[in-house]
Parts: sequence; C-alpha cells; structure tokens
Amino acid sequence: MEMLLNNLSAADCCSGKSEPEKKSRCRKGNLAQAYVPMQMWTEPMEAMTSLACGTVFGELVMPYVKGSSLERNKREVCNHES
Amino acid sequence: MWIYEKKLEYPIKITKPDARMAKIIIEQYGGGDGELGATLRYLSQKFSMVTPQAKATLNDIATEEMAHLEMVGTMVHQLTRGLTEEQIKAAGLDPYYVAHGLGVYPSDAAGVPFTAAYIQSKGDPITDLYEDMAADGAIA
Amino acid sequence: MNRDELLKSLSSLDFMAVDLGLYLNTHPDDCEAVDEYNCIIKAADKVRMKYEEEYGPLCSFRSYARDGWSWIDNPWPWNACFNVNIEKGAC
Repeated sequence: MEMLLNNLSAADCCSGKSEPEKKSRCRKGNLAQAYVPMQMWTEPMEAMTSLACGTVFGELVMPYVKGSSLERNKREVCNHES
Repeated sequence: MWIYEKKLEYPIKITKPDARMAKIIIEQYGGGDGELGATLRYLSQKFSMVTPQAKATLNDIATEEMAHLEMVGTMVHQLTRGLTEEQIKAAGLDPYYVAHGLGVYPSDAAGVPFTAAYIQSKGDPITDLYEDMAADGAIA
Repeated sequence: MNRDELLKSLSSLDFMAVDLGLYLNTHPDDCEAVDEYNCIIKAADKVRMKYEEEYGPLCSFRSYARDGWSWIDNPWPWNACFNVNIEKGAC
C-alpha cells in the first residue's frame, strides 16, 4: 500500500486547481488503488487514559457506540416513498 | 519467538456469570472476524512482506492479537463460572455445553468451529494488506 | 504501591509501549516518538521490578525465581481475582 505523504486523501490532491504548496506535498494516486493516510505524530495521552481508551493517540479513539449500526441501517434513502 | 507475560493486556474482572453473553462474546474468539483469525492472518502473511515496516507491523500486530485472544477467552471463561443447568438451557448454550462443557472452544456464536477459511494469505504483500484492512474494518 | 496499583501502573505503561511500538513500526524515523518510547519503558521497567519483587515472576524464562518456582502459583490472569478494577468512564 502506498502511503500518501500527509493526511490528504487522494481526492484532495492534485485536482489540477490545487495551490502550489498543496501540490508539492501531495502525490498523485494511481487509479483503482486504495490508500491509507499517513498518521502524524501527536502527543500521547496519559498512561491510564491510554489503557482505558485502547490507544495512546487521542485521534484514534473510536469507541463502539451501541446501536449505531442499527441507526445507520434504519435510514432509508428512497425519497419517493414519502 | 514469543514471550508470555503473566498478566492480561487489559484487566478483566467479571463477577456476574451470564450464559447468553458468553454465547455472543465467543464470536470474537473463534468467529470469522475474531482474534484467532486475526492472529493467524497476520502471522501467516508476515512471511510474504517485503519492507521492514510491513514485516514489523504484521509481526507485532499478530502478537497483540494473541493478547486479545487471551482476553476474549478469559471473558468467556469468567462468564460461564458457576452456571446452573437452567441458566445454560435458558440461554441456548446447551448445544455448546454438550460438546464442550464449560470449557472454551474456538467457535463462533452459532457454534461453527474455527476454520482457516476465514483468513487469506496470498503471498502478495499488497493483496494481503487489502485483506487486512477488510478484516480489521469489518465492524467499523 | 500495593498490588492493585502496581498492576494498574504496569499494565498502562506496557500498553503505551506496545502502542508506541506499533506507531514506530511505520514511522521509524520519528525521533520524538522514539524518545517517548524509551522514556515509557524505563518507567515500566521500574514498576515491573517492584511488582516482581513483591508478587512473583511475570515471565517464565526471564524473571528471577525468588520464592521457589512461584511462577505456577494461582491466580492466573484469566481468573477474575487476578485482575484490578478500572473505573468506568476512564476513557
């Protein structure tokens, strides 16, 4: 898997109308390939908090929300039914 | 090689047995997206990795998944301590019980035994990493 | 520190070390992260030493056997009484 040079997703990069600064940092992705953004260093949380959260990095705290999948699946996208 | 430390990665102290919960939680032990599958997936794929970063990542994540496996097994074990016949039957745990007693057996919530068919290892680093993302994101 | 406090402290420090190690596996040139990792393991080693002195070996082929072969002694980590309580909402 190729890593992008920063947290920009492939969609943000190189749309042709990007600023010079953005263009030099970003890397054009190849077609039909998935990319993983490169994690940037952030100050780790304190030890007990890290253990309780399951990660030392605050931005990676992604607790499971009970019923979230059911909620998501409840929403129907068809407009013509109303 | 592996080093075992005599402590859980995260403490587990279940004081109230719960047969129904045990039946559900065991999915994470021997089920398709469970810790045993994760361990074997990374452990098998690591041999095909090329870059040092990928080798280290798969090796060390596999190691951590083993620690997770121990925790899930611990949960099932603690949830089934002192269960009565009525509690077992009421939770629908009796088919499991007849085959395994109150032991911990690698199977999913439906009782299907673990199989390597849950994982893939294709010998190609990028293919394997795609599989890892699919597997690990399965409950996203 | 008593056993509960030692075990809590060691578990949290070891967890940090493991997680930082995983980050370093994909960011091996991040010196700030290496420093943080080294700092954590130094602290963890101190706690580990205290725990093992008082409550027995944590490893069966690295830890000093002070009290006969107490390695086998109950409780083991999967027994509920081995473990400490973590406060709800600690995350």
